[in-house]
Amino acid sequence: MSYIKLKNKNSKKIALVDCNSFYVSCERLFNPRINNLPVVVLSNNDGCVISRSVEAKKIGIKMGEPYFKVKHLIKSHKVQVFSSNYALYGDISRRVMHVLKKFCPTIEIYSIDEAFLDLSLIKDEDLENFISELRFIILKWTGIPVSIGVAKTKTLSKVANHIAKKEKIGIKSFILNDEKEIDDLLKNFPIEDIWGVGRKISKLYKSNNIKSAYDLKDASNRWIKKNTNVLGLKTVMELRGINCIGFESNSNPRKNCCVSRSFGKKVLDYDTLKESVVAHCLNAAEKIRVDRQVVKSVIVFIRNSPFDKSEKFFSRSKKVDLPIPSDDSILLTKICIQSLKEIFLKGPRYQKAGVIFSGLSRKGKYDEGLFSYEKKEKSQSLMKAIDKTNFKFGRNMITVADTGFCNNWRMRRGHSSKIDTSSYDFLPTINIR
Amino acid sequence: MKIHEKLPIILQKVCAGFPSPATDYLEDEINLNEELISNKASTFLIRVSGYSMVEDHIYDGDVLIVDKSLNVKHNSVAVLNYQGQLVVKKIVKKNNKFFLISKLGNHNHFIEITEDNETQVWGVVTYVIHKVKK
Repeated sequence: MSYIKLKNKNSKKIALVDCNSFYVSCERLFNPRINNLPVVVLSNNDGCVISRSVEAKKIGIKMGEPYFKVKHLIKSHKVQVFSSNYALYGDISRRVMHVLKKFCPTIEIYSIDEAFLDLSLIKDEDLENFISELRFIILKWTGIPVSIGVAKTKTLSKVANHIAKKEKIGIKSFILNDEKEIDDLLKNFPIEDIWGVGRKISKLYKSNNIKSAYDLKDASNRWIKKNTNVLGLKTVMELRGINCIGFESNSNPRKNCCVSRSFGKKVLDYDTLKESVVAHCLNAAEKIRVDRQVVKSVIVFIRNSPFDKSEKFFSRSKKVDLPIPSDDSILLTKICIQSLKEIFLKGPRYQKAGVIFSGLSRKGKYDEGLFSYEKKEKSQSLMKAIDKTNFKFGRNMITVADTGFCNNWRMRRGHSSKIDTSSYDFLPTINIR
Repeated sequence: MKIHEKLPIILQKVCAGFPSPATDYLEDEINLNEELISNKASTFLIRVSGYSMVEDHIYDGDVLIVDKSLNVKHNSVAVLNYQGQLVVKKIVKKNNKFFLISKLGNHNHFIEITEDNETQVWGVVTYVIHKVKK
């Protein structure tokens, strides 16, 4: 009995499913004309390139580059440009994750386009069939191409996934490989592409002649412990096939909640800034109420553009700790406005404002302070009523008057496909004339 | 998809002349999502504009329920990627091959579905939502 358990533990199979150029794939779903053309998707406010098709990568457009810097490439290669359409991407992501859950109940959704699966219960000899079938079903059902990498640990499955991306079949499993074969692959795997190895630490590794994943796997524990942190050592262990990073089912509640947006036009005046901060605060408050959480600290931040050479970079924030954690929109809005008043300076041309709720915790029955008085119930039924109404009649039906009504600070999205597969009014349309 | 409208089912025969006083007890509700969508991950709603499919009861402004997980059969109506464009066409099967029917004037034109970039099935139409205008 104990032998079987041990064997099972040794043969853990972790898969990483990653959607290929996810945002681009979503745009292509209802627009097959751009299937073989270079395509990029821009971040909020059309700032930077955040998703590229294979063709766009080949032209030399880098991830995260500001739009204005690659405009010449976009023009000369007739690259198709899209503003991000998160309503669409969110719905498609939900569908992909739904398919994954259907075929594998142990899933950790890692980001909008990535998920880890625990496939330990599948027999070694069936594994490749299973993942290639899974890949086919996701493509057929949702239209999204994915790559799947499988290995004994999360970190290795990320490596396998990188390799899968380059293979035509889109899958790569290390499970049937012996250690030497895996080592050969790790020797060609650059250190900076390893999951959990940041830019700073990869510089340190390189200067110590650790250049490939294999070099890192081979590094001495003592050196790693001395020169990095616990995470560094975990990465090394994981490369050796020892599981150190646990599987997190997605029931773990979030600890922070940040809502921020870049402005469509630069903002100079206090009132517009206030409108946006209040809107973000209400948005965040609604989010935490959905998760039944309360917030301990509220941070408001404002900044101008770091790329604007005509003025000095200006960035300020203010953190306020609440005596009693809360989820009350009205109270939180008051705090945000007070904070903004304190940090606001006339002069900078503001490009971004945001609100961060940190120290989130589960809303409990006993989180009341000794000196709090009982107007809490009133506020709670008010918040419930607001959320219900907004859910029924659309966002911002009921709101705090400070949000304003003109909202001319909202995002610039000049190239949006404007399709939303989850909204009856913005469905994709086919012309059948 | 946001069709959460629930319609009540009334378990009561309609008796001409003498309606029972107990008519107003409701047994359950219809959930249109459950009735019309068997695979919610693969089902999309798509609006059409134009009149080329009137013979198959698809009118301008109708909304199609399209399931990507299904395979086409003889007489299916499908959404296809035809030369880089999404189209809605009727499908027929002849000699174990599938063809889409494209109307050119009064003539039916049969184009083989090759599943390459030229003609690819995108999804199968399962229902048409048609608003009856007054």
